[in-house]
Amino acid sequence: MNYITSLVSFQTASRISRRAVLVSARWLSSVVLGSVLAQFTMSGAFAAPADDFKDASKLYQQGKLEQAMSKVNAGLQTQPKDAQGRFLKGLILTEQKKVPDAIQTFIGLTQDYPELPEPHNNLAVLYAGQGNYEKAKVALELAIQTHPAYATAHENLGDIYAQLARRAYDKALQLDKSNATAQSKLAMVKEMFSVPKPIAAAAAAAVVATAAASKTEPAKTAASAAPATAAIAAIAPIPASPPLASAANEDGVKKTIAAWAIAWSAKDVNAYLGFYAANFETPDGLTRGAWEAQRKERIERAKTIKIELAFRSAKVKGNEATVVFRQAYRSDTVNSNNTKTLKMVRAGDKWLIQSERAGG
Amino acid sequence: MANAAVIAVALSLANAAAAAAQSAPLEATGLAGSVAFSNEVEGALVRALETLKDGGIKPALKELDAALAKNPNFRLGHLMRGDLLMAKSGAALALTGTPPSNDKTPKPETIASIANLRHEAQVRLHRYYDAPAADALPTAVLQMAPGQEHALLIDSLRSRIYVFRNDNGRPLRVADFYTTIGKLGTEKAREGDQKTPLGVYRVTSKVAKEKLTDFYGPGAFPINFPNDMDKRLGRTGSGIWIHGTPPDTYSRPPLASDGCVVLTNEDFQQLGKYVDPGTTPVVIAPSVEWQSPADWSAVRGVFNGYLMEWKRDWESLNMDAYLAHYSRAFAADGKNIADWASNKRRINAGKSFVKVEIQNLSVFEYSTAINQPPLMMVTFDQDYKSSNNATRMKKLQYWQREDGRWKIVFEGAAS
Repeated sequence: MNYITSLVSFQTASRISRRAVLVSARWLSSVVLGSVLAQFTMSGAFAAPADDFKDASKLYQQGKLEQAMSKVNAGLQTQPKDAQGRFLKGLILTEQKKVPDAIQTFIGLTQDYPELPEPHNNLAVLYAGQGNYEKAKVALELAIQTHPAYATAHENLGDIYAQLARRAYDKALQLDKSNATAQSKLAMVKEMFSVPKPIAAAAAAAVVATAAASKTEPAKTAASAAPATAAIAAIAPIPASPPLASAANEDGVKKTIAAWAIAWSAKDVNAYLGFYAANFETPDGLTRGAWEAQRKERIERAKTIKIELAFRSAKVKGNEATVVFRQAYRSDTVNSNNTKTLKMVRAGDKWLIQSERAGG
Repeated sequence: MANAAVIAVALSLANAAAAAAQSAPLEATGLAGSVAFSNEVEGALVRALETLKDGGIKPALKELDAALAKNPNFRLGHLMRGDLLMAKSGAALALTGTPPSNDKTPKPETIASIANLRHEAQVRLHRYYDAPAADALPTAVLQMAPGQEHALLIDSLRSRIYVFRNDNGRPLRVADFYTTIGKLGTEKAREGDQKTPLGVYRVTSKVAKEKLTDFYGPGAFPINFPNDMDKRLGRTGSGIWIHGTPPDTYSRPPLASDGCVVLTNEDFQQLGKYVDPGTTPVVIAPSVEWQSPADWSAVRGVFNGYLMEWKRDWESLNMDAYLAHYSRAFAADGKNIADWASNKRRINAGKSFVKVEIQNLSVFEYSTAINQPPLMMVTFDQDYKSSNNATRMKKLQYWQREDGRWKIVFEGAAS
């Protein structure tokens, strides 16, 4: 379990809040995806959001979930995009056993901050808890894609593979009868201490350096906490711009498409539609409203949706990108496998789909 | 460069965590109650599978590694081990029937041997995941004679041989083992058909290891195939043995022999402790029906009722009642039922009393074919006294269901 000292987590929290402030400044016109209305409290009205989140975090750790939620909601009212706040909200919802809401919260985070591994990881834990190992696997693979050195996600992914192997055996050897629901032991991450992608290499180097250093100086740090601490130390000072540099490169585009596929396969229509630009070229001359209604109907009609993507190419030119990939779509009624080309447009730090067509 | 190093660090971290989890005690969860495994290899398979649910891949591998260290020729263990190593990267598993991705055109032999190992995995695991209740009894063994200390029962469908101890005539399950039968299954009809016979047999002798090639492992127990029933049905063949395994493999696939019943060497040695050559009955059934003790007793009670009624009606000299116990298909001494019946009527007309004693009764279900309801094979010592005659004999009867009741279809001296 990755549990870190309060000092480190505080550093992390403030770092992410600062970045979130920058992000939300660019996102004044953005729509808040979360549907939970912030509760208005006196302290929330006067305290800075960062304090609200700090208080909420303490209350959460003390198990005072209701109060923690009030604080978080108060903070989110002024800073609706704040990653730390939303992450905490996801944790509280999880503790409150409001799994669908927690899933929504983490999905939102993965969409707005695709480069953060923790929301992917926690999403995976929640999916696994529902027995949905395929979705959990995809989410963990994304977490690892963002941070190859993310030990928790590796561990969790190993566990998911074990569950998948067991499930495959149950099915193939007809042991289904015995298949009592497995108790998932995946680790939920309780703190966020990831770094934006461009700095990952530096952080990684720090991990290696720490690993090497701890060999010569074993007494200096507890081995488990060392890499995380080192990684965070290494990233200061935070680069002011661009805040989400990863969004500018091909990886950022691919990650957005991966998140789009996850929302789609999770049958989360709102999140799915959120990936489309306002001026998305709707097919067959449909109005935006009619197209959205059609997508909603089709996605919700499927009992299960499974999507696998294999990227062919991703070209970024300024604020536009063209991505070609092979898409394997499998639902309870339809199987298809075809090549798709998405034209993406950059809006702030986010990539949105402008057109979608079959073929390379 | 840096990335590769990072991944290496990440993996070593993950491994360290998994290693820590290894020290946790492993329990066979998901299985009803405490499980006694027939042998350590099956224990390892089941524990590995159970461990996947809550311990991950590493401890599952550890289970298999331990079993393989002791039994390096345990092929199924090797395949599952390979599978789990592949599973670490989310790859397809051979045991699930998916051909390995790096082998686009696997040879037919490879496909066949994986299918065999998969079959073995299936039957070995179902023994634990679909286990009969601890107190369940097989209708195939309804009454053991006092001289029969143990009886063997083979479930051909599930590739299992069960050992029962004689508990006052009732079968008490004491052991069971994975077993291989004929390549082409059961219903042996003729020499060389690579099938295992269905029926009730007897271990006739023991052949020592010294007299055998390696192929038979630590020894062999021949059975009396073809028996009287087989001869009546025109079945041919010989040399149906229960034996061990050659040294190049721990076990053979479920369907692999030329008709023999094959156990692993370890299991064969265990089985040998229960076998009394010349006496031990061997029931080879298409599959075994397990009943609760109450239901089993009911089946036994009903059949016993017919048997006792037959004896009583014989003693009553009421020839119509007595002859009603015989099937339309009954034949004895080359006579059909009509001739035989009139002969019986003639003999019994001159008697003033008949007294029949039955001792050392045994009753087993006798399957002659997979899709036929089994006959009842009954043997007993018959002590017969009448006003003008007295005989003692070992009697053999086959009963079958006819017109909603049990009737005798064959009767004669037991050989």
